[in-house]
Order: sequence, then structure tokens, then C-alpha cells
Amino acid sequence: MKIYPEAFEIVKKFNKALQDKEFEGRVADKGINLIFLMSMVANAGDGDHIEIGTLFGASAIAVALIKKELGLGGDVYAIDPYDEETRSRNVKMMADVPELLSGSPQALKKNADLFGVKIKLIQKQSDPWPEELKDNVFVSAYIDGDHLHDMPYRDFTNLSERVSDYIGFDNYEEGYPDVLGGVSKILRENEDWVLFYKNASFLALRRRLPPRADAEMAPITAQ
Amino acid sequence: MFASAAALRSHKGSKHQQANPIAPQAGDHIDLNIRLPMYPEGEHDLICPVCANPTHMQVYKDGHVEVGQKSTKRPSSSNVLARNVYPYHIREHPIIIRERMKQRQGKKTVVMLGTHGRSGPLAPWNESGIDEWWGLNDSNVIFNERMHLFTRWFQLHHRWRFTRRQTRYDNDHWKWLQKGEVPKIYMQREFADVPNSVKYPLREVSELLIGDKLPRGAGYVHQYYASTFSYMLGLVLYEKLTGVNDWERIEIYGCELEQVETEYFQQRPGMEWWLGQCAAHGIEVYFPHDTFIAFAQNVIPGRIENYLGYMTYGYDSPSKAEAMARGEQLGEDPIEENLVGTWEDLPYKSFISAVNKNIADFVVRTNWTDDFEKTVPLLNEFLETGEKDGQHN
Repeated sequence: MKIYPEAFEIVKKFNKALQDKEFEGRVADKGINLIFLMSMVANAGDGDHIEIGTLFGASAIAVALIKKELGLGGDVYAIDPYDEETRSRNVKMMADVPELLSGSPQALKKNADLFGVKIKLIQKQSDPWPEELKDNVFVSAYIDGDHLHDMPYRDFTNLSERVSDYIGFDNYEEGYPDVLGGVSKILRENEDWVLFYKNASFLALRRRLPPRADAEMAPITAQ
Repeated sequence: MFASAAALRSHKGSKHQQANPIAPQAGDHIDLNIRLPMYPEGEHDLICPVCANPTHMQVYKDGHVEVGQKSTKRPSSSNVLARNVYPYHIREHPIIIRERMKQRQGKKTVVMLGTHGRSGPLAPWNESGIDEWWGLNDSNVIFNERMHLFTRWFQLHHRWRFTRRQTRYDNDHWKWLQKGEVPKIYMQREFADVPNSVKYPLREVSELLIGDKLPRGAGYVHQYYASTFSYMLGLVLYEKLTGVNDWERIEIYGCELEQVETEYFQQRPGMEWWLGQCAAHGIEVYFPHDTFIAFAQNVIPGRIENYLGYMTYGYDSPSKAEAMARGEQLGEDPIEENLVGTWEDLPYKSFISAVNKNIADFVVRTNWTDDFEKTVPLLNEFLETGEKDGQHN
């Protein structure tokens, strides 16, 4: 996957905002995954992006910033119920509990305002798929919601028919066996998506290209 | 050999409707007396002794013989891909998926599926925004795994036809019809032994959509349904105009009516008329990039190919180059200055420039070798810094 140099600069801005305590909340793993996420979104090009699981909004804001930086069209959507019960259930199951998981829509807005970007928040569960996004299509997506049981897989299923190019996962690592299992199931059962990139705990699936032999459009003569 | 008269009639009916293989004789009939070796029980591919074309024979245990239909499912298409193998799904390029998903967004959409191998496998099985899936005839055996998606089915042939065994794709289409697998099956009338059969509203559709719009000679044309797709398009329009369903988009896959076979010469004009009706009533009709329908073609012996020049006949074709190649005379001012290009200022891009532009963008955006030397040191530096700080696991 092409890694965009612009993504490094954006992550540096995040880390500075954190040091200066302007950014509310946290940026996981010092932002390494954000570099890959932003590059994935840049690879997808013009079009809307959606993420499931937003918390303080670092990833959604980073995506909005890279789109702005590269002049790419499209809005950034985020689905998060900000539901304490689901979040605490996830936290209990985690081997390595991040200390700050108490995001809120207010914190998301404050952080987005800090970087001068707009995030369209749908404050609902991701499954069943929110009615207000029934007809939306996206060029890219990021799954970082409920990490337990079959939820990573169900989030993928909901997104796969609405996303044209890339779907990224956070926490593809041993500490989250249901994320690992969900991705394995996708790769085993879904013929339309291929494992495209993996670095740190970020993983990107890309809609599979046609075989090279079929990739060329049939010639249309213009004699 | 053709062990029974019925078997021979079946073969003659399907393969020799027009042809008279032997010299004209006096009288009102022709006698054929052909001897072939007796074949054992099972399936056999053989060459017809009359027409020398390949055909298929099934010999049953009781000596009964069926000739002319092969039980193996395959489209009767001239398309090479379809002839050899018919996968129900071939991946479309992501840039086309993206653009057609955008086109479809927010529009009430029905997908209609035919069986032609050129565009049938490109069906958007795993895409959102499709309200209904419609299929026809015995193609259920091709879409087997996806049959749960289909909301309506069209079987508009006579009963003698749909109760036959060994139809084009299915061994026992009649048995399938009686299962009621699809919620609604449109037929010429409701049949008590086809559970979900519904009478196709032929008169209602005709009155509303053909009505008095096709005067001919001393009167009017009442029906113009040259294929099952014509009935399907008619029903979409009927539902839109009567307020049953506000259809905004039709997507058609697997329908080519490739005019190298007699049947498709018969069927295509009618279908194109209905497509025009749909467009005129505000329903957009989508086809995959290189489908034959709704496009001009060049005829080459044995096949056809899409021909852009005839999409603007006169402006683009016949061109000077074509005329010169044929040795035709050129008149004065033989400089062609009226060629029609794409109109880039339109909000909707030409399908050819859309493909070209998107592929070019795709290559530029994703070519990782461009910045490889720059980004790898940046990434290494970032990772090393993080490790020093104990931030990365």
C-alpha cells in the first residue's frame, strides 16, 4: 500500500495536541495506525468514509485531515452509540485495558473543532445498520467498534456491500481474538475482498481486482 | 440412432425448422430414413446425420431416447466464456462498482438477470441499494446459491413448454415451479399447481403503455412483447405509473440478445422499444460496460462487436477512413470536422472517459513505488521513536 508522507505530519500534529493537552482523550499507539489508516483512505480517493467506533474521534479526524490535505472529496461519518454498557463489557474482556475509554459526542465535537474538520456522527449501534445510512455508499471504512464475539464480522458484513474500495480493521492482534477470528472468516468465506495490507495492529482489506486476463474492458471500436 | 419417431421429431423441431436437408419431392411430406448404430444407456454427444451439427442424446434404461437437449446447464450463447463455463459471479473492477453504487444511491432499483455469460456473472450480488431482484425461466439453477434474493420471477411461456423436462438449463423446471421458491411468479395466468403464480397484467400494461401510441395501417398495435424482458420492463413501467412502486432505476445483467442467433434478431427490437419507454418515463436503465443492448454494433461474419461510430451515425461513421478502405469516392472538402467527442462539461461523464479517468486516478493514487524511498525512512524513524518511548507494542 502506498504510504502517504502527509500522514506523518498529521500524526505529529495529533501528538503535539496531546502533549499540550488540547486534544481531549487519547490517540492509540501514539498514532502509528493512523498513518496506515490515512494512507488507506488516500488510496481510496474521492468519496465518503465511515468508521465504526469513534470514541474521542482521533481516527475520524485524521481521515478528515488527510482528505483536506490532499484535496480529496467526501464526508467522514462515524457510528458510535457512546453506550457505557457495551464499552465496559469490551473493557472487561480486554487483556490490555486502555486507560481512557470514556469518550463522548461532546469530546468528539471539541476535538474536531480543534482541527477544523467536521465529522458526521450517527449515535447508534452499528448493527442493525442505521436506517439513516441505508442508502449511503462509501469508498473506505474503518472497523474499531465492538471487538467481541461476531461483531467485527457483522460490522464487516454490513459495510462490505456499501464500501467500494477499502475496509480497515484496528486491533488485528492476539489480544483481540474475535477480531482475528472475524478477519479469518472473511478471508475464508468472502471472495470479493483480499488482505491488502497489515502493519502494527492495522489491517486493510481491499475489494479484489478482476484477474489480469479479465481486467481490460472489452474493446469498443471507434473506427 | 433416433430410437423413436418422437425423438427425431424433437430433434427436427429444434434444429431443422427451416432447413430442408434433401431435394424437394412431390407430395405434401418428406420421408427421412436414417440408420444409426444403437447407443447404450447414458448420455452421448453425437453429430446429427442430417445437419452435421453437434447434438446430444440421452438413452434411458427403458430404451426411451431424448435428443437435442443437454442436461448439463449452460447458456445457448455464442459467447466463448458462456459456452465453456458459466460462473455465476465474476468480479467487476472496483472502479466500476464504485461508480454504479454511486449512481444507484437513493434510487429505487430493480435488478433483472438474464443468463448470458458476457454480462450475467457481473451481477451486483454483494452491493447495497437494490430493492428487488427479478429472474426468468429456468435460470434458477444458475443462481442457485442466491435464489433467496429474488422477489419475482417471470415464466411467460405456455404450459406445454414450462412443463417439459430437460429445458435449457434445468432438468426439471416444472418441478421447481411447483416448489414456490420465489414469492411471486408471473405467468400467463394463475395456475393452481404453481403456488406463487400470478397472472401477468397483460391487458392493463398494454392499455396503459402501448395504448394508442403505436398506430399502424388502419389501426393500432396492441402488443409489442418480443421477449420476456419486454414483459418485465412493461411491469416496471406499469407499477411506476400506477403508483404501486416508484421505480427509478433498472439494472440489467446477462441480457445481450446478441444478434447472431435468429431468436435474438426477433427479440431485440421489442426490448429496445421498452427501454426507450423506461427512459422516457424517468427510469434510468443501467447496463455493464460492454453489453450489446442499447448500443450500436458492427456485424462481422459469425459475431458482432460494439461499434461506437454508429452511436452518432453520420457524424462519426461512415468515416473518411472507412470510405477510403472500401475504395469509395470522396466528395469535396474531405476533412472531417464534425466528429462528436465527449462533452466534458456535462455533470454526468461519458462512460468511456469515466473508465479512463478512474483507472488513471487509481494508478496514480495507489502506486506505492512513487514515494517508496521517501516514506520508508519516515516510517522507520517513526517506529524507532515509538519504540524508544515505549509506545508501540
